[in-house]
Amino acid sequence: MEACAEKEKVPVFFERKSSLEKALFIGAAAGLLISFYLIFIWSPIEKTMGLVQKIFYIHVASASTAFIAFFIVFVFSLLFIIKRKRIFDTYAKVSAEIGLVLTTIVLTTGPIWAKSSWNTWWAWEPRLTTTLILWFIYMAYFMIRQMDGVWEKKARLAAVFGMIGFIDVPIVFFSIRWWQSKFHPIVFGAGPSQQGGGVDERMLVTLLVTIFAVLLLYGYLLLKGVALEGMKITLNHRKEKIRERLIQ
Amino acid sequence: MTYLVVAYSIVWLIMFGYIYSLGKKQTKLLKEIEFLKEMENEH
Repeated sequence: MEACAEKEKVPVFFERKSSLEKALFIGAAAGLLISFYLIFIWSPIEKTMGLVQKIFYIHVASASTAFIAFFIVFVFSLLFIIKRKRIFDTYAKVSAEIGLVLTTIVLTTGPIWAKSSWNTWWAWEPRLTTTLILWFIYMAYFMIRQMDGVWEKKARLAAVFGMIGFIDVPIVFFSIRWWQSKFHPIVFGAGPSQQGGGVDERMLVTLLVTIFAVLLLYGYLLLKGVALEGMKITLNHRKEKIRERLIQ
Repeated sequence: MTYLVVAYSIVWLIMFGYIYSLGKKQTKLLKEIEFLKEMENEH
Protein backbone atom coordinates (compact mmCIF):
# COMPACT_ATOMS: atom_id res chain seq x y z
CA MET A 1 0.00 0.00 0.00
CA GLU A 2 2.99 2.26 0.44
CA ALA A 3 3.45 2.34 -3.30
CA CYS A 4 -0.10 3.67 -3.67
CA ALA A 5 0.62 6.44 -1.17
CA GLU A 6 3.70 7.36 -3.20
CA LYS A 7 1.48 7.67 -6.26
CA GLU A 8 -0.65 10.35 -4.62
CA LYS A 9 2.26 12.53 -3.52
CA VAL A 10 3.64 15.29 -5.72
CA PRO A 11 7.43 14.90 -5.64
CA VAL A 12 9.10 18.11 -4.51
CA PHE A 13 11.79 17.83 -7.20
CA PHE A 14 9.19 18.24 -9.94
CA GLU A 15 8.16 21.65 -8.64
CA ARG A 16 11.63 23.15 -8.50
CA LYS A 17 12.45 25.70 -11.20
CA SER A 18 15.72 24.74 -12.78
CA SER A 19 18.34 27.32 -13.71
CA LEU A 20 20.36 24.37 -15.01
CA GLU A 21 17.63 23.88 -17.61
CA LYS A 22 18.18 27.44 -18.90
CA ALA A 23 21.97 27.02 -18.91
CA LEU A 24 21.65 23.76 -20.85
CA PHE A 25 19.35 25.39 -23.39
CA ILE A 26 21.76 28.28 -24.01
CA GLY A 27 24.71 25.85 -24.10
CA ALA A 28 22.96 23.54 -26.55
CA ALA A 29 21.90 26.38 -28.85
CA ALA A 30 25.42 27.87 -28.87
CA GLY A 31 27.02 24.44 -29.23
CA LEU A 32 24.83 23.52 -32.20
CA LEU A 33 25.56 26.85 -33.92
CA ILE A 34 29.31 26.34 -33.44
CA SER A 35 29.08 22.73 -34.61
CA PHE A 36 27.23 23.78 -37.77
CA TYR A 37 29.95 26.32 -38.51
CA LEU A 38 32.57 23.61 -38.00
CA ILE A 39 30.66 21.06 -40.10
CA PHE A 40 29.89 23.23 -43.12
CA ILE A 41 32.78 25.70 -43.17
CA TRP A 42 35.75 24.61 -41.08
CA SER A 43 36.02 20.85 -41.53
CA PRO A 44 37.58 19.57 -44.77
CA ILE A 45 35.63 17.84 -47.55
CA GLU A 46 36.27 14.11 -47.58
CA LYS A 47 38.11 13.00 -50.76
CA THR A 48 36.09 9.90 -51.71
CA MET A 49 32.55 10.71 -50.60
CA GLY A 50 32.63 14.47 -50.98
CA LEU A 51 30.15 16.79 -49.29
CA VAL A 52 27.72 14.04 -48.31
CA GLN A 53 30.23 12.75 -45.73
CA LYS A 54 29.25 15.75 -43.59
CA ILE A 55 26.16 13.76 -42.57
CA PHE A 56 28.64 11.73 -40.49
CA TYR A 57 28.86 14.38 -37.74
CA ILE A 58 25.18 14.60 -36.84
CA HIS A 59 24.67 10.87 -37.54
CA VAL A 60 27.39 9.77 -35.09
CA ALA A 61 26.54 12.47 -32.52
CA SER A 62 22.88 11.39 -32.50
CA ALA A 63 23.85 7.72 -32.22
CA SER A 64 26.28 8.30 -29.33
CA THR A 65 23.79 10.47 -27.44
CA ALA A 66 21.03 7.89 -28.03
CA PHE A 67 23.30 5.24 -26.49
CA ILE A 68 23.84 7.46 -23.44
CA ALA A 69 20.08 8.13 -23.24
CA PHE A 70 19.38 4.38 -23.18
CA PHE A 71 22.09 3.91 -20.54
CA ILE A 72 20.28 6.51 -18.41
CA VAL A 73 17.07 4.52 -18.98
CA PHE A 74 18.89 1.44 -17.67
CA VAL A 75 20.22 3.26 -14.57
CA PHE A 76 16.92 4.92 -13.63
CA SER A 77 14.92 1.75 -14.35
CA LEU A 78 17.20 -0.12 -11.96
CA LEU A 79 16.80 2.64 -9.36
CA PHE A 80 13.03 2.51 -9.79
CA ILE A 81 12.98 -1.27 -9.29
CA ILE A 82 15.02 -0.88 -6.09
CA LYS A 83 13.57 2.31 -4.58
CA ARG A 84 10.09 2.42 -6.17
CA LYS A 85 10.14 6.22 -6.46
CA ARG A 86 8.18 7.84 -9.25
CA ILE A 87 10.90 10.35 -10.06
CA PHE A 88 13.19 7.51 -11.23
CA ASP A 89 10.50 6.14 -13.50
CA THR A 90 9.92 9.63 -14.92
CA TYR A 91 13.61 10.10 -15.72
CA ALA A 92 13.71 6.68 -17.42
CA LYS A 93 10.59 7.42 -19.46
CA VAL A 94 11.74 10.84 -20.66
CA SER A 95 15.24 9.57 -21.45
CA ALA A 96 13.78 6.70 -23.49
CA GLU A 97 11.65 9.18 -25.43
CA ILE A 98 14.67 11.33 -26.32
CA GLY A 99 16.70 8.21 -27.14
CA LEU A 100 13.98 7.11 -29.51
CA VAL A 101 13.89 10.52 -31.22
CA LEU A 102 17.68 10.41 -31.65
CA THR A 103 17.58 6.83 -32.98
CA THR A 104 14.95 8.00 -35.49
CA ILE A 105 17.45 10.65 -36.65
CA VAL A 106 20.13 7.95 -36.96
CA LEU A 107 17.79 5.72 -38.94
CA THR A 108 16.82 8.50 -41.36
CA THR A 109 20.20 10.14 -41.92
CA GLY A 110 21.88 6.71 -42.29
CA PRO A 111 19.93 5.55 -45.35
CA ILE A 112 20.32 8.98 -47.01
CA TRP A 113 24.08 8.73 -46.57
CA ALA A 114 23.96 5.06 -47.67
CA LYS A 115 22.09 5.89 -50.88
CA SER A 116 24.77 8.34 -51.84
CA SER A 117 27.78 6.24 -50.74
CA TRP A 118 26.66 2.61 -51.17
CA ASN A 119 24.02 3.24 -53.85
CA THR A 120 21.36 1.57 -51.73
CA TRP A 121 18.94 2.94 -49.12
CA TRP A 122 19.19 -0.06 -46.84
CA ALA A 123 21.27 -3.21 -46.38
CA TRP A 124 20.53 -5.95 -43.87
CA GLU A 125 24.00 -5.79 -42.40
CA PRO A 126 24.86 -6.02 -38.65
CA ARG A 127 24.95 -2.32 -37.66
CA LEU A 128 21.79 -1.29 -39.51
CA THR A 129 19.81 -4.34 -38.44
CA THR A 130 20.73 -4.08 -34.73
CA THR A 131 19.95 -0.33 -34.77
CA LEU A 132 16.52 -1.02 -36.24
CA ILE A 133 15.96 -3.67 -33.54
CA LEU A 134 16.95 -1.06 -30.92
CA TRP A 135 14.36 1.32 -32.32
CA PHE A 136 11.65 -1.38 -32.18
CA ILE A 137 12.63 -2.33 -28.60
CA TYR A 138 12.05 1.20 -27.34
CA MET A 139 8.88 1.57 -29.41
CA ALA A 140 7.64 -1.52 -27.56
CA TYR A 141 8.75 0.15 -24.30
CA PHE A 142 6.27 2.97 -25.01
CA MET A 143 3.56 0.55 -26.06
CA ILE A 144 3.87 -1.04 -22.60
CA ARG A 145 3.37 2.39 -21.06
CA GLN A 146 0.27 2.97 -23.18
CA MET A 147 -1.44 -0.18 -21.85
CA ASP A 148 -4.42 0.00 -19.54
CA GLY A 149 -3.78 -0.47 -15.84
CA VAL A 150 -2.18 1.00 -12.73
CA TRP A 151 0.83 3.20 -13.56
CA GLU A 152 3.06 1.44 -11.02
CA LYS A 153 2.53 -1.97 -12.59
CA LYS A 154 3.19 -0.55 -16.07
CA ALA A 155 6.23 1.36 -14.80
CA ARG A 156 7.67 -1.82 -13.28
CA LEU A 157 7.14 -3.75 -16.50
CA ALA A 158 8.60 -0.88 -18.56
CA ALA A 159 11.60 -0.70 -16.21
CA VAL A 160 12.37 -4.39 -16.70
CA PHE A 161 11.90 -4.00 -20.45
CA GLY A 162 14.08 -0.86 -20.53
CA MET A 163 16.87 -2.69 -18.71
CA ILE A 164 16.72 -5.77 -20.95
CA GLY A 165 16.44 -3.54 -24.03
CA PHE A 166 19.70 -1.84 -23.13
CA ILE A 167 21.52 -5.12 -23.92
CA ASP A 168 21.10 -4.21 -27.59
CA VAL A 169 23.15 -1.00 -27.21
CA PRO A 170 26.60 -2.68 -26.88
CA ILE A 171 25.50 -5.14 -29.58
CA VAL A 172 24.85 -2.21 -31.95
CA PHE A 173 28.25 -0.72 -31.13
CA PHE A 174 30.27 -3.93 -31.42
CA SER A 175 28.24 -5.50 -34.28
CA ILE A 176 30.63 -4.34 -37.02
CA ARG A 177 33.60 -5.40 -34.89
CA TRP A 178 32.17 -8.87 -34.18
CA TRP A 179 30.58 -9.72 -37.52
CA GLN A 180 31.66 -9.14 -41.10
CA SER A 181 30.18 -5.98 -42.54
CA LYS A 182 30.38 -5.32 -46.25
CA PHE A 183 29.08 -1.77 -46.03
CA HIS A 184 29.35 -0.11 -42.67
CA PRO A 185 32.91 1.16 -42.13
CA ILE A 186 34.86 0.98 -38.87
CA VAL A 187 36.35 4.41 -38.18
CA PHE A 188 38.13 3.68 -34.91
CA GLY A 189 39.68 0.30 -34.00
CA ALA A 190 39.46 -2.88 -36.06
CA GLY A 191 36.96 -5.59 -37.07
CA PRO A 192 37.19 -9.10 -38.60
CA SER A 193 37.36 -7.78 -42.16
CA GLN A 194 38.55 -4.21 -41.88
CA GLN A 195 40.81 -1.80 -40.04
CA GLY A 196 39.55 1.61 -38.98
CA GLY A 197 41.33 4.43 -40.74
CA GLY A 198 40.64 7.08 -38.10
CA VAL A 199 39.72 10.63 -39.06
CA ASP A 200 41.45 13.87 -39.92
CA GLU A 201 42.20 16.05 -36.88
CA ARG A 202 39.76 18.78 -37.91
CA MET A 203 37.06 16.18 -38.57
CA LEU A 204 37.65 14.73 -35.09
CA VAL A 205 37.34 18.16 -33.42
CA THR A 206 34.12 18.83 -35.38
CA LEU A 207 32.73 15.43 -34.35
CA LEU A 208 33.56 15.95 -30.67
CA VAL A 209 32.01 19.45 -30.63
CA THR A 210 28.85 18.10 -32.31
CA ILE A 211 28.60 15.21 -29.83
CA PHE A 212 28.99 17.68 -26.95
CA ALA A 213 26.31 20.00 -28.38
CA VAL A 214 23.84 17.13 -28.88
CA LEU A 215 24.60 15.95 -25.33
CA LEU A 216 23.75 19.41 -23.98
CA LEU A 217 20.51 19.33 -25.98
CA TYR A 218 19.76 15.90 -24.50
CA GLY A 219 20.35 17.28 -20.98
CA TYR A 220 18.01 20.19 -21.64
CA LEU A 221 15.29 17.98 -23.12
CA LEU A 222 15.61 15.53 -20.22
CA LEU A 223 15.07 18.24 -17.59
CA LYS A 224 12.29 19.83 -19.62
CA GLY A 225 10.53 16.49 -20.12
CA VAL A 226 10.81 15.61 -16.42
CA ALA A 227 9.40 19.04 -15.48
CA LEU A 228 6.45 18.49 -17.83
CA GLU A 229 5.78 15.05 -16.36
CA GLY A 230 5.88 16.70 -12.94
CA MET A 231 3.27 19.21 -14.08
CA LYS A 232 1.11 16.36 -15.29
CA ILE A 233 1.34 14.68 -11.87
CA THR A 234 0.55 17.98 -10.11
CA LEU A 235 -2.46 18.39 -12.37
CA ASN A 236 -3.77 14.91 -11.63
CA HIS A 237 -3.20 15.56 -7.92
CA ARG A 238 -5.27 18.76 -8.07
CA LYS A 239 -8.01 17.02 -10.09
CA GLU A 240 -8.16 14.28 -7.46
CA LYS A 241 -8.46 16.88 -4.67
CA ILE A 242 -11.32 18.67 -6.45
CA ARG A 243 -13.07 15.37 -7.11
CA GLU A 244 -12.80 14.45 -3.42
CA ARG A 245 -14.16 17.86 -2.40
CA LEU A 246 -17.10 17.58 -4.80
CA ILE A 247 -17.98 14.11 -3.48
CA GLN A 248 -17.98 15.43 0.10
CA MET B 1 24.74 18.10 -52.13
CA THR B 2 21.00 17.25 -52.33
CA TYR B 3 21.45 14.29 -49.98
CA LEU B 4 23.26 16.50 -47.49
CA VAL B 5 20.52 19.17 -47.56
CA VAL B 6 17.76 16.55 -47.24
CA ALA B 7 19.54 14.81 -44.33
CA TYR B 8 20.08 18.01 -42.30
CA SER B 9 16.56 19.26 -43.11
CA ILE B 10 15.15 16.02 -41.68
CA VAL B 11 17.34 16.37 -38.58
CA TRP B 12 16.06 19.91 -37.96
CA LEU B 13 12.48 18.87 -38.70
CA ILE B 14 12.62 16.04 -36.16
CA MET B 15 14.38 18.18 -33.52
CA PHE B 16 12.04 21.17 -33.91
CA GLY B 17 9.01 18.90 -34.15
CA TYR B 18 9.93 17.30 -30.84
CA ILE B 19 10.70 20.61 -29.09
CA TYR B 20 7.48 22.12 -30.51
CA SER B 21 5.46 19.17 -29.20
CA LEU B 22 6.98 19.70 -25.73
CA GLY B 23 6.08 23.40 -25.90
CA LYS B 24 2.48 22.61 -26.86
CA LYS B 25 2.24 20.07 -24.06
CA GLN B 26 3.52 22.68 -21.58
CA THR B 27 1.01 25.32 -22.74
CA LYS B 28 -1.86 22.83 -22.44
CA LEU B 29 -0.80 21.71 -18.95
CA LEU B 30 -0.35 25.29 -17.72
CA LYS B 31 -3.82 26.22 -18.98
CA GLU B 32 -5.34 23.22 -17.23
CA ILE B 33 -3.50 23.99 -13.97
CA GLU B 34 -4.73 27.63 -14.10
CA PHE B 35 -8.28 26.47 -14.76
CA LEU B 36 -8.16 24.08 -11.82
CA LYS B 37 -6.70 26.77 -9.54
CA GLU B 38 -9.61 29.05 -10.44
CA MET B 39 -12.05 26.21 -9.78
CA GLU B 40 -10.44 25.57 -6.40
CA ASN B 41 -10.73 29.26 -5.47
CA GLU B 42 -14.37 29.40 -6.51
CA HIS B 43 -15.42 26.41 -4.39
